[in-house]
Amino acid sequence: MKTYTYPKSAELFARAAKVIPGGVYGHLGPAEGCFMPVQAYPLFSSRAEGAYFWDVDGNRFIDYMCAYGPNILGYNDPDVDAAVQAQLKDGNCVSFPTAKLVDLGELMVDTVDMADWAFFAKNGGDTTMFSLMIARAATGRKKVVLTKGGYHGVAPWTQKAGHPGITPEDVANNLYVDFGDFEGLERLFAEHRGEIACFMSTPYYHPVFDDNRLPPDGYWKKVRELCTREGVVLAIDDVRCGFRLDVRGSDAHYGFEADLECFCKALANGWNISAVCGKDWLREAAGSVMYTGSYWLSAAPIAAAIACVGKMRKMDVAKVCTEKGRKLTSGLAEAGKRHGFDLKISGEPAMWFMRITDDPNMDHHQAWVAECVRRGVFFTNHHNLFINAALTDADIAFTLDVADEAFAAVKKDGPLSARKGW
Amino acid sequence: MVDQGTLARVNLFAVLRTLEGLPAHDDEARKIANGKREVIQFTVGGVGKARLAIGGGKIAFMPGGGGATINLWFPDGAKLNAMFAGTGNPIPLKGLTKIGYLKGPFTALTDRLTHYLRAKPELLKDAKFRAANSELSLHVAFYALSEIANADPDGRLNAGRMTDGAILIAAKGGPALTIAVKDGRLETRNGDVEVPGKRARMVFSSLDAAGQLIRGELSSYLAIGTGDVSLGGYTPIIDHMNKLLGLVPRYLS
Repeated sequence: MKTYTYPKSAELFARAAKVIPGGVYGHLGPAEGCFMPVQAYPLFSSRAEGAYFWDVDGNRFIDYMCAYGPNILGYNDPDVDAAVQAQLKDGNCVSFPTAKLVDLGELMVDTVDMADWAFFAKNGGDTTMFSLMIARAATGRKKVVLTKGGYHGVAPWTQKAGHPGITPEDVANNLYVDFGDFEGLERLFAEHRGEIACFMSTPYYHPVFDDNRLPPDGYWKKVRELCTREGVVLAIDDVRCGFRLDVRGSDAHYGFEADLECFCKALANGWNISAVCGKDWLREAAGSVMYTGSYWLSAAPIAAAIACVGKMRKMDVAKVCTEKGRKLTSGLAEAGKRHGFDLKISGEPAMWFMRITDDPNMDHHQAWVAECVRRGVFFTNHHNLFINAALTDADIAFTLDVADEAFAAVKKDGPLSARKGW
Repeated sequence: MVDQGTLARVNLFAVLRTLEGLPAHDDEARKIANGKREVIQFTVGGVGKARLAIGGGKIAFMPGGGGATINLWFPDGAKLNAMFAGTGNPIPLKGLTKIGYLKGPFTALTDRLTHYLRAKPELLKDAKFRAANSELSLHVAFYALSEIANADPDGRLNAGRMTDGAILIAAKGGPALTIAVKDGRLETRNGDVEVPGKRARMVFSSLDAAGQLIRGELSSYLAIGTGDVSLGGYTPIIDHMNKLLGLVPRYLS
């Protein structure tokens, strides 16, 4: 199998380096994206379609990051993009919202089990921040309980003290508990009775670097009861999981009901919109918080969300992605076994996490992922991966061939630390 | 914010230590190292002790106290920092007759170190000087990093999140250092040293790339994209170390 090179990516990165901090910053960049070694990875895409993207050097990749989640139906989905094009002819960012805002509100309330109302913004971080503000407005309390290793965006309160730009005051109202540790949460609530506005968590534990963990049996039911008893708002950050586990919301998937639920990524198949859904008792508080942005009610992304949610419901996208995920991940694990590697799969199949075990320094895993990328399968090293509905059986078969060859290459050439030039 | 206690630890255990490498690059330092043997002990209240043995053709840095021919006392870290800033003097407890050595050869040594570490742009155009600057800067920055991790309030927060193990810092074809992590405390060691636990690496494409990064000519995030810095191994430990690396200019600039 031919392996890729990236001269045009490197050229473009050199240009970017002069005018953009870090060249490509954030999770799409080589540093945060853990591109190890960077020579194995493309740095810029030129186009995308369905399950694929092509880089600026013309290399095709099956994209298992799905833009880190937004691509759920396939890039350039014709129905979603047609809705956007139609809306653009009528206008987009105007002094008033269009009727589509109301249409989408109604659609969200009809689709998401817990929703009595919906509010729209742009990014996932807008929704977690808004949820915390709603909880504070509703309860008159200031503290928030977060799970250790959880990710809720990049606002200062979601980051860690001691990190660049973050002051101790930014995180002074945060309390932390291990995901799934109900007794720990109960203890924290007792120690800070009357102070905690909100418990915010992802529906299951999907950090970077670590095996992902589903909620323990009965965990969410007990948490729901505890929050109700203590008057704490239960906010589910469904930004990453939303619609991939269950179109009704991930709380419905795990059999409980959140007070607030945050959506973004898959909501509009890549068009820029996010949403908070809430219960009736928080409606007034949500209305009282001053929270808005220049583009939040733009009509084109709203049209995209209407088309995307409708299509996800119709095809039962979570079931489709879960089945494809199961097929792919069992094949990947088998490929590893054939070459003597134990590839551990964790989390939900539609957005699984994987790592080679017996590899304490992650060296074999990084080498294997790099070998896959160079052969046209885009994985990242230490983040969960994503399935989209456009992925075909032929794509899965191709991926498994690549995985097999990549395992063989690691078996032959060893981990990254043993390689010259890597 | 610069914490005076941390700055004193950086000065005592990182900057002073870097004198060890000076004779390899500088004729004047070599001449002094070949001169009369003196052992200078620095005692800093609330910070610790360290000794410099100068003579026999080399300069040796020894953390902790012991036999010395000159003993300098600083009541606290701020006084040591004042001496490094050129705004204060130590109190000699022993070796009063050797004030001449301190004012003469020792001051000359520290001036030579400043010459290399605070390099004028025009001097960096010379390849030999640039290499010396890069090697000494790499040394001082990564020794300082451990002191900052163990003493600075932000540093301690980040170090406390690190798993036990080690990070290899190396420049291709150049020097290597190992940062050992144990129970949230860091220790920089010279060379590629085996340490129990997880292991990660940060490898510079050349000694010059390392120098550029430490001099602030090259952004670390950018360098990862260009391949001038290669990261690998147990990545979470590096993530925290990068946060510490970001604190180093606070203390060395």
